Amino acid sequence: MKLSEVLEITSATCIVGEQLASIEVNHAFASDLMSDVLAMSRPDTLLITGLTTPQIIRTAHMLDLPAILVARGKDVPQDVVDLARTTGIVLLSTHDIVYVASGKLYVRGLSG
Amino acid sequence: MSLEQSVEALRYLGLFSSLDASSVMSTAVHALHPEDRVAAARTLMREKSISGVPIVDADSRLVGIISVSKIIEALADGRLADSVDSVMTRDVVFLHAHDTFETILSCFQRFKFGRFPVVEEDGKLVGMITDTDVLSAIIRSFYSVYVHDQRRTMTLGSFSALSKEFESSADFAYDISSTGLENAGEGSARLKAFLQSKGFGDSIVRRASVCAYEAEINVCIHAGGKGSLRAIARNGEIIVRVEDEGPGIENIDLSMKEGWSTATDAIRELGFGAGMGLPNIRLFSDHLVIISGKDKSTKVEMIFLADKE
Ligand SMILES: Nc1ncnc2c1ncn2[C@@H]1O[C@H](COP(=O)(O)OP(=O)(O)OP(=O)(O)O)[C@@H](O)[C@H]1O
Ligand SMILES: [Mg+2]
Repeated sequence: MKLSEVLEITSATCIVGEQLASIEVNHAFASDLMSDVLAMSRPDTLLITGLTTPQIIRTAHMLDLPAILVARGKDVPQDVVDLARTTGIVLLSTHDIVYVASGKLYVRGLSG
Repeated sequence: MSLEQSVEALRYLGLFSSLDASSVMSTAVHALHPEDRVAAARTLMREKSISGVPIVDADSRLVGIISVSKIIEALADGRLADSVDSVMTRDVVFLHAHDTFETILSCFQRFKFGRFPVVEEDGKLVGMITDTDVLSAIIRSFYSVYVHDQRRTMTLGSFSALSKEFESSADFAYDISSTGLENAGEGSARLKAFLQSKGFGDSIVRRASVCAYEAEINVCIHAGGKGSLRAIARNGEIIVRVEDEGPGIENIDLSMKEGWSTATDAIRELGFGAGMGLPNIRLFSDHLVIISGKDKSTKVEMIFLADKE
């Protein structure tokens, strides 16, 4: 699934990486515990999380994940935005909660 | 270091606490019945290259054992056609399935037999333990995680589980210095860039970065944020060492368990404290050494091999 579709399906806005919206992800993983995310080793995965700490970017970076979808429309602090930009990670934000965003993407074919 | 010394060392380290007889024994057991012929025991020993055959009744309960020396005696007396029952040893020294590794070791020390049958509560034979089984259990413990603490110098002398290379120099070095979590992960991000610049493949770089990150985060959330992250990356091998100044890990066995964590709720709200960091490191590294102890520094050394990809 293209990130542009993720954007559309979850009515998300793109905080970092507009130009990269054509990137594909084949899976998604939703969690607020970074070590759970780190246990997975599949680079073409979208991380869906309710957290907005710098560690969501670090975690995605270590795993070569291309993009993060922040749920619940939380404000993302500027240092986190900057970190996403310097590490080249696409940062999206939706008003949906994690459960709803995950459900919407799942029914549209983005598998776990 | 002799085998006896290393057993002694490992015993002090408590590395065997999770090993019991049922996890050490071989379960592919060749047993005979009392009414079988001695000749059958001889054939079995020859074909399976075993030096002792346990004898069980119709309910699989252990009733005796027959060893090579008994066979030789029987051979000399021309009793190969007699029943096993007439030559077997009846007061068998055996182990219980839940006996500790300590008990197994002391059994080998006290009785100079090469093998011990293992039985369940009801006396049913479930396995055999030979000195080879004990040795492989020791080797497996060494390979999974090699842990030790201040007792090491006492017991292991000059033997070091850590790579000597770091004593002279490292290819990559980063000082971890973080109050709270704000910089946590910076060192691992730099390490990742360094490894990529060295031309290592995506997958080994990912494994090494994830593990370094878990260890770096641990320094930040469990050890006051002061420490170092170093790496040596040569010849298709990446060695990463993360060290801090304490307070140390009291029970390393426990800390390696999935889901075991001493993190506070505040840490959990920041996305850590699932108790998955060290298990992840074990999963993604090819070799892992953790040296720590209560009120000690913690050293975590991980090795990643490119040819394991
Ligand atoms: N460097 C360290 N210093 C002191 N204690 C540590 C250190 N690293 C780990 N520990 C102890 O080991 C436990 C397990 O560590 P592990 O990394 O597996 O889980 P965690 O850090 O609690 O949670 P997670 O890694 O999932 O965020 C920790 O909760 C802590 O008690
Ligand atoms: Mg951890």
